[in-house]
Amino acid sequence: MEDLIRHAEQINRQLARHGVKFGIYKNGTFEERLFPFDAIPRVITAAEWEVLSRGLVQRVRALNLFLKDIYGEKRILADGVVPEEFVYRSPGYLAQCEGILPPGGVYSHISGIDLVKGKDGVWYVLEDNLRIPSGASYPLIARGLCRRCSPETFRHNAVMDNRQYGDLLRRTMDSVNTGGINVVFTPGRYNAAYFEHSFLAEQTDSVLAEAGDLYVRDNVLYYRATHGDCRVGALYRRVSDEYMDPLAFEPSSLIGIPNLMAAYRAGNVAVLNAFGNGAADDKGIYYFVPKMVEYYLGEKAILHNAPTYLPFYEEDRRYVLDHLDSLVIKDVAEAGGYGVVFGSKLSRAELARMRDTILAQPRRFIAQEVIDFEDLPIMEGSDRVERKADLRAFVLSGAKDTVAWPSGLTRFSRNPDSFIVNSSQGGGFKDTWVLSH
Amino acid sequence: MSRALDFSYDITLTFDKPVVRHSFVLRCLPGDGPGQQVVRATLALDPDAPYTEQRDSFGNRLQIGRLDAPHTHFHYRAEGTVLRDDRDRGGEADRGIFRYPSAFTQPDEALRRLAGSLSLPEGPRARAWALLEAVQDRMHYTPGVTGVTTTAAQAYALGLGVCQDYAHIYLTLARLCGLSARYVNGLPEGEGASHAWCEVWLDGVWTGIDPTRGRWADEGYIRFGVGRDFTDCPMERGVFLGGANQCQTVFMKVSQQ
Amino acid sequence: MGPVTLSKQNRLFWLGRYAERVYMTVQFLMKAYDSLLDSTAIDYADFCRRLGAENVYSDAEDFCRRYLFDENQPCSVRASMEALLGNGMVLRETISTPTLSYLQMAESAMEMASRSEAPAVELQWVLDDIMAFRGSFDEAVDHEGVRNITKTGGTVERLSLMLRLGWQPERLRQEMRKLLNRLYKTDLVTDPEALKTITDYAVEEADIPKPELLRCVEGLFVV
Repeated sequence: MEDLIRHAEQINRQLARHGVKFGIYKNGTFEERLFPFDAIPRVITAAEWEVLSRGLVQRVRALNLFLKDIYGEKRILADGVVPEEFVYRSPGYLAQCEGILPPGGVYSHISGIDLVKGKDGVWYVLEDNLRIPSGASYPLIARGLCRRCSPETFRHNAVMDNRQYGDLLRRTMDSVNTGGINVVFTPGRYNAAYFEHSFLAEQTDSVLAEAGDLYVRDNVLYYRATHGDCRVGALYRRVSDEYMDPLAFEPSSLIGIPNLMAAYRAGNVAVLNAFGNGAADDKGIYYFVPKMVEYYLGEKAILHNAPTYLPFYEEDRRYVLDHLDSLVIKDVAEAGGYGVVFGSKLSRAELARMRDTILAQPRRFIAQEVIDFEDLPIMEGSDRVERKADLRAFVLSGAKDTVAWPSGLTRFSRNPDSFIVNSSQGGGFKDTWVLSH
Repeated sequence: MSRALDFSYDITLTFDKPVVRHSFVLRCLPGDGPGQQVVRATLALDPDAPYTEQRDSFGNRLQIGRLDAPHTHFHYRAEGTVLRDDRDRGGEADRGIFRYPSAFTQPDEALRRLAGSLSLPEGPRARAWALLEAVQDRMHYTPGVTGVTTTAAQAYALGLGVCQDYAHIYLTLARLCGLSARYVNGLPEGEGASHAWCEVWLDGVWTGIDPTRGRWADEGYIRFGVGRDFTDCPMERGVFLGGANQCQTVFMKVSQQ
Repeated sequence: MGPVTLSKQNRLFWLGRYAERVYMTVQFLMKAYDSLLDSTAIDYADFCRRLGAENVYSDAEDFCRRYLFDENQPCSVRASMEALLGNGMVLRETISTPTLSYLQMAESAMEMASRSEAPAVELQWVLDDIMAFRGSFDEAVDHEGVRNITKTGGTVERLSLMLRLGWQPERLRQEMRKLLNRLYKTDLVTDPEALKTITDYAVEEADIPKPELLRCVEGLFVV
């Protein structure tokens, strides 16, 4: 591994050569930045991965069953395991999708599960991303370059190869494809993840398309080609639900495909991920994921949630109000890093106000114990320093199986005081090694 | 009492410049459902365009198609006969989704205050009627001040609006007061423009109530589409290329046979 | 290689045009830089006029530097380089990541040249990278029809520059004959009138005024 660190600069040059970039909007203009790479990998032992991967697969299977249920029979609501208002009030719940069974019965084909490892050695799930999780391309391309720059390192460490991601993704697309080509659908060049869109199109041997390249006729999606149009069987879309079809969702969308919903409803095209997955990955629903695992699979959840309380339930509410100063309070309606408050940072008066707000609108919030998570070493110049890092694990679900990719995106914060590891906030990434023995 | 209603419904869209690649979704034909049986229903499009039929997740009939060639107008005419009979209705399924606010029926402080201030009678039917009176008391029917993107909260703040706004405000209040309620697009007996009203789930029947006209929506009403609010069931939605201004004229007629 | 849309055809065509534009203008300006050393006068005003570029330059030195590196000038090599990379980026799954990486490297070399006291050293890398790009493109793109769209774009650009800079008729005819040979191996739609004029000039050796020829070369393809 030391050899790898010695070659860090070379690796970064290689990444630059391959234009490993993400876009950000700064002062209203679009800029592309290199995504800083740290050569010290996160290492996950074989034994750890054995548990982790089983837990990831289990969790994603349950989430897929949950989505199928709430858009179909709604058993889990009828049985009172998840209160219906957590589903029906979720902005991600799309009533337009009720009764539609996607090809292969899969909703979340590509799931990005964000985890952290506590100082107690336990992995905790922080968030499920079931809409359009991004980031797999970075460790994927970095691995190939690291192997090139430091072959010794890989000769002496039994690192599981992660470069089959493109094949896995392609297999996933093929397994739900309804007959026709595979397309990666991008909002365009000025999207933050454009690099990834084009890279994954190449890796999966798909066609990269924008809105003008696709159209629907007679409930079939077509790709407009100079030699006659071709039917699209699977659409890996990197555009949010609300912009996908101006006739079914947000009417003002210019980047959508009119009547895509009709093709989808008719079962003529697989959309990866399915519409309406937002109902299963919001902060309020997160609390119920371990219960879903038990409900649908009859198994105990292998992966832990960060200890979470729902003031909606009286018992939890009492606990939250008693321990407000040590908990993290999250507003269910807010996205990203917004609406997250650390009780320990609030003044007496602010705590009192928070109590009142929770009492008035208990279902608006969740509260979590603060996890003391493990720091990872990074190189800062020639110094080794410790920084906060998380792991986004990728789980792929096709018509036949669900598999966890033996790698993942490890993001770290470059700021020593920050917990925010988001790439748009200046964070960097690491390769994630899963050891084979 | 059972009634046979003949209906016709004409919409003409005119564009001040030719448009192309015009994709559309229409909900302009009534479907069979509780208390409503379609004897005959036809649709004619001009320019003629092929379309397919589907049902959306609310059970509404959809006519889906596209017109690629340049055109400066799009006219469609639906006509037919519907049998309405609300006797012997019952056992209709309630749906959870109609108990919670949707995009256009999100209550604001003012609507919440209003709902809290009403002294409502006990029974759900009486309660449904009391809410209608509350809307009627506070709204003045005024065309031209609100549009298709006006929310319940915005219309309530104005105190003005048309049937769509009355329906949205009614739905907001009904859901705040624990009733399952949904939006209905359709044609009532008479002639003129299409209409919107609501249905409230009362003892196993989706019961029609018309907050604009202050009455129960009886067997003189033909249901075309239902949803959480207007956006779930518009009679016509389309997108096209060509920077044209669009003008819409509507005429409908419903009469008893 | 899968199906090609009209928009993709357009990008492939311009990928070829921009690659050629960067390549030829860098070569030209490297020579110009060299002649600056001997204080040989460069008629840059004439150059700008011929290329239809606005003459915003204060002297020959300023011209050499800014025509190369001023990204705010739409006709600068830097701007063409950005457009070249931009077209490449949206064609990644067609041209492959390794091919695209040569464009990325050419852009980095351009960037380094702009900061260098002796830019010709790095400019040589720009030329090397574009050559490597062409080789890699040939290897990566299986479909001959697709390859020829980009190559045709390159030839059109070369002809356009040759005409503007007043190259000899023999060279022009030679280049045009190459273009005519390739034409039939693409799906590009041609303007029949422009095609006839070019054929007359290249094959029948008809005498046709340069501005007319230039108009025909620029308007040959409907993309």
